[in-house]
Amino acid sequence: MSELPGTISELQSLLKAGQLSVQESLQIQRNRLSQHASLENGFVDILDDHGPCVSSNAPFDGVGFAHKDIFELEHRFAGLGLGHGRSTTATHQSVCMEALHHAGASHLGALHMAPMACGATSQNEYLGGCLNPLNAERVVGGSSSGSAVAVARELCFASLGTDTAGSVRIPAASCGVLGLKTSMGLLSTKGVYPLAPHLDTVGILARSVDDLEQVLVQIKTHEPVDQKIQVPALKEAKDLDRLYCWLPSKMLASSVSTQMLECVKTFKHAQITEHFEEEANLSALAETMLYQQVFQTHGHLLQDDPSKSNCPKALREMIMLGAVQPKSWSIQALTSRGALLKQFLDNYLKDRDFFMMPALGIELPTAVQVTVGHAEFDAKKLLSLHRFMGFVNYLGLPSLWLPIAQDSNGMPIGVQVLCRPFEELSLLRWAKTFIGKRFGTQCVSRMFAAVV
Amino acid sequence: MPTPDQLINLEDWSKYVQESMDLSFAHLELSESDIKRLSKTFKRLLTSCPSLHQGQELMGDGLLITHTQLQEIGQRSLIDFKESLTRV
Repeated sequence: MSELPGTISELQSLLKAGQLSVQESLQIQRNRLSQHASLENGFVDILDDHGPCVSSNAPFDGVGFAHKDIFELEHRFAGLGLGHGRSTTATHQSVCMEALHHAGASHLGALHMAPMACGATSQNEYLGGCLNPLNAERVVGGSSSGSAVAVARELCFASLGTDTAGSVRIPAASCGVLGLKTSMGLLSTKGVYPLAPHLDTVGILARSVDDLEQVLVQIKTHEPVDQKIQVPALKEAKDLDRLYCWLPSKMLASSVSTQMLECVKTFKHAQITEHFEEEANLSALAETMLYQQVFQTHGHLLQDDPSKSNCPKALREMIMLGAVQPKSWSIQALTSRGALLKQFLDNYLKDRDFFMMPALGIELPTAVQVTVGHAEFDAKKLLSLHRFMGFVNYLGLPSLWLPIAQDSNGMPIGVQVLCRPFEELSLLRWAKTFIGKRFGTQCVSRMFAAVV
Repeated sequence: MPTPDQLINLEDWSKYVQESMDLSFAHLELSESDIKRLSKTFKRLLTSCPSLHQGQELMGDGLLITHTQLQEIGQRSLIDFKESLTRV
């Protein structure tokens, strides 16, 4: 056997049936890495830790993972999109990476990211960008760029990323893989370099809903007891058709709006609304909180380093915004969050389980259209990549990006679907049914033919 | 504390930015284009977010709050928010 199946679940079936050994599985993955792992394909560093070489009866025996280069490993400082990682004796493995390790996972590599997680694309003045596996001219979203590229290229089965204002969902949307931003606090951010701690969340990218669920469940199962938070028991969705859909057609490209409408019409009891009045307020508060948090967390970089050489341009801009923003704005954003969460849940997720909304407002732009400083740069297109993301982090809600159609260039058009906090498993069950009915396959990335 | 009108006036905003910067950040040496970009961002936020106006009215002396105090408010609000997340 020289090729592996597309999903973890399928690989596990082969291993269980004895048609493939753990050693063979890892060897095939290593061979593939040696041929294709590069910065353009999302890899900053290939790691030596390939996990158990023989079956240890752990769920992820023989399964290769990779992670955004923002997670600390034992003896390795993360590169943070500024360069390669550095060996050290001083670091501890991040909680999520350790949990995956205990579940038998092999950590194959550290992945490309926008410098210090600041950026909605893979633009990177230190490493260069990476290439979209679906179409090299199209943009790769950020900041967890490599996490999406490596999964779409099938250089790992799943990857970890982080999402502070869309950084898992935007890259997933650009490469046609599933991207789950988890509820705030569900997965530990201990050992993850912070951008804005009140908004940072760990996310998972994979090619099937089953795989997302497995990764989420195994991290929760294997994380240290003192890191666990109490998560409400899985609730079955009452009715898959009862969802709320915000479809602001005037804010969307017509093709995106048309596809969303066509999709939501397949749900018998969907309630569609053009207006979601609270959104502008929530998005502004999210932005305000982001600047305040970035300043508070990273302000010292500018104080310590007047030459600013170690501070990426995008981060410097955010620090400045946080430094000079009226403090009353910061207080407003910090203190009104709980009440606004309650209001959102009461208004939209009381009688319904899911809230569908746009992800990217436009068809996926070319890389140069959203590259700052390029002659073809279009600020509105860059804004459209993250326009609908930030308020979800502000409210601390889970959100799943999933495809619904293809645009005129064959690139994915998708939506994000939100649910109540800590009800990710219910959301994933819903998504599995939806994808199965709509596409007749569970391996979404292969619909977009991203495999090298 | 600038009023919403002042925020939209670039000259007043520029003055406010320079005055509100911590001394330790003086070496940021904001250029005119920096100030212009900051002003544009805040103008957009202010026009899209009614509660920022409200915040200004309620917190007229907001500038007197130190960063340490703001940090404490942040910590308290995070604990409160985490509780509200698990309560729903």
